[in-house]
Amino acid sequence: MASFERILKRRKLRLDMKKLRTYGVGVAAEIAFTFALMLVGWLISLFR
Amino acid sequence: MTNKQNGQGHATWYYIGMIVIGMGLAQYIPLFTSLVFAEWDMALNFLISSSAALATGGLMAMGGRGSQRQKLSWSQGMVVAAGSWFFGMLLCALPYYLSGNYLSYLDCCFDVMSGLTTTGLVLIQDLDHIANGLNMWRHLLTFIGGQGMVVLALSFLVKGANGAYKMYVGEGKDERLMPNAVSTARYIWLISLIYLAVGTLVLWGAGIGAGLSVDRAFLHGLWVFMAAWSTGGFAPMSQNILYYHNAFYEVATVVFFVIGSFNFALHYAVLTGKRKELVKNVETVSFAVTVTVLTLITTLGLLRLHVYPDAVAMFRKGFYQLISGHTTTGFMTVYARQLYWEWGDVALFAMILAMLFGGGACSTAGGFKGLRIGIIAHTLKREIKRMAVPDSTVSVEKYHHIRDVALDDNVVRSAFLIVTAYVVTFTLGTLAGMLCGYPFGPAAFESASVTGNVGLSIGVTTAAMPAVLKVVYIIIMWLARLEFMSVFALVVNVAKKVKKKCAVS
Amino acid sequence: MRSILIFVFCLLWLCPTLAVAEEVDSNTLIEQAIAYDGQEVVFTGEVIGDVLNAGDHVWLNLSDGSNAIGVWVDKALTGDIQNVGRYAKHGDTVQIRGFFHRVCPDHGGDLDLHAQSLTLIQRGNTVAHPVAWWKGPLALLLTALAITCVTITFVNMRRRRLPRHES
Repeated sequence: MASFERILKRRKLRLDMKKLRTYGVGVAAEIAFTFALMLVGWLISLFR
Repeated sequence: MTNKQNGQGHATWYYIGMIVIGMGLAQYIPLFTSLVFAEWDMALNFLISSSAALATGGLMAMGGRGSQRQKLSWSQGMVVAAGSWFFGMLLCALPYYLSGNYLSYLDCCFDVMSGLTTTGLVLIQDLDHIANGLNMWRHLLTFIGGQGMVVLALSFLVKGANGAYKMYVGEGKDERLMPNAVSTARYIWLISLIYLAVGTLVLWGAGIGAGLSVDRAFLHGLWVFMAAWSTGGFAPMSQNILYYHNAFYEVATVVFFVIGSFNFALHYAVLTGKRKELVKNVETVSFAVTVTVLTLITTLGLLRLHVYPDAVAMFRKGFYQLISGHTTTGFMTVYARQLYWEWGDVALFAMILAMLFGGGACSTAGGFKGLRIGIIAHTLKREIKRMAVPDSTVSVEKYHHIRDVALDDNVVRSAFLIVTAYVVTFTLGTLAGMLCGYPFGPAAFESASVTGNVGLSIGVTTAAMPAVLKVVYIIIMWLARLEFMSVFALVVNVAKKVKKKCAVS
Repeated sequence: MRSILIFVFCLLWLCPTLAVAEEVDSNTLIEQAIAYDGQEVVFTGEVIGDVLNAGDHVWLNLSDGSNAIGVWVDKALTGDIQNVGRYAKHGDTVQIRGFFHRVCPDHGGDLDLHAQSLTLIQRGNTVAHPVAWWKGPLALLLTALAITCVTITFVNMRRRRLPRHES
């Protein structure tokens, strides 16, 4: 019984880690988008 | 008056009351801040005003007791949204008034409405010497207002309101992230809190890098994040973001205010794994296009007048103000009057367009919104196609917003209607400015800032501004943030009640 | 006598800055930034907020009541500064002489002043914020009212709690 509960807990933790990773990558993607916009702004600022 | 009508009237009071209670409870955060910093006078101010809000909210809710079961109609939902913003403004202004940093209660109301609508124009006096508790309240107001007071109440206070979605829509959002409005509201808060943690940490580090002490860097980081995420534009010091004289700090603010201007539905998609949405979504595409075009025009305008001699200055002043305006944030790295004296008409014209176009729908941002601009662009494309292609060909124009959506007439009509409403509002705001004696350019700029809930100023907004113009701007900020419908519903509702009372007497 | 006058005249010629630097306020600098760009000015203001550390220099933000302007100062010149303006403090008032930049080439286009000299004009002081006598009783009264109203509201809510109804 105890070992079954341990397996369940471990699986839940793995699922949460997966969710955390998905969220983390999502945040990184959004930040990357803003840097892309800033790059466009920087390139335009180079015009003389 | 029938029992049914009585019940309906009570239901709106109940929900407005609960939202006002929420705003009363929120004041415990600045109260606690003031206690930590031994700002006894300010702490007492917050105790007084939070209790006033709790008492008022409690009385309102008691007046509406027994009506939680009532299913809210659309007009009631709208009235709750608009009404809670109105009463919220009056009650949240109390700590400002008691602080002594304002010249009148009207100025206090202006700053509250500016905070809640995440505009960011200020009338506060002596900002550089205010209490930490007061700064906490200013920035918290933008954070709460950005998410929405209704969203706050739905998340934490109102357990399963019948017609919750209608109140949610009344606050200018309509994306169904989750099957029900309460879960949607909670999810919005979850995303905001995730970014609150990330953003505060980054800005804390940036603040230390800019030369602030560790504790001050934390407070500033927290406040600047809240103002960035909510695309509010308040800052703890009078020089706004120029105070920090730091490029990295500025870049960090851009990251968080751009992300803050995204549609919450977009956040939901991207954070749960659908990352391609960032490049497929009609809003991000529309935003990228308009930012690029308007940056080009702004840069052209600034180059013609030789305003900024090198690329770095052009980026940190030109691009920064443009993207701050386009996301309707309102952070500034130049003084307001420099825009007036130095920028010239071409750059200012681009800025006005950027402020009006705005950020994402269902976000903390204001303006027409990228979704509507995208819809209008697709409609134009469709109409041009129809003219070019023979009548026998039937093509369904589609746009992508989380999923592919057909461009039907309802969607198109709604987009044009709201954009028209914004344009009319902008026009009236400009007219009001001119009637109060301001020249056309500044009046138009400031009106665009108010209509788009932006917060960039060209110098019109000061405590010395005519009271009439302050009232006009308050109304415009309120209308624009709630996207018109709920305020109209409130006005119609009140007018009906007045008419009824007059008829009886 | 004549030689003394010639000597003084020569001194003035050698030290043009003494004759040229104008005392200005922040509004003038901002409104007429183009005219004052690159000029040497004298500016007096209260040190507010923070002394921002930037290596061997610091940023001071000086406020003259209307606006605050950033001043780039050599750290060695700032030894005299003890008080920085906050809620409970009025900061030291200092006068700086330096060059004004509308778009500083060293600092990413910031409007700023680069100080050549810094003089302490007035020491800052603590600012008291006394609590008005009526606030205490008012707070007590309103808190009592608030507790009563909110308690009744939530008791009513519990009594009439409906099954989870969401739309």
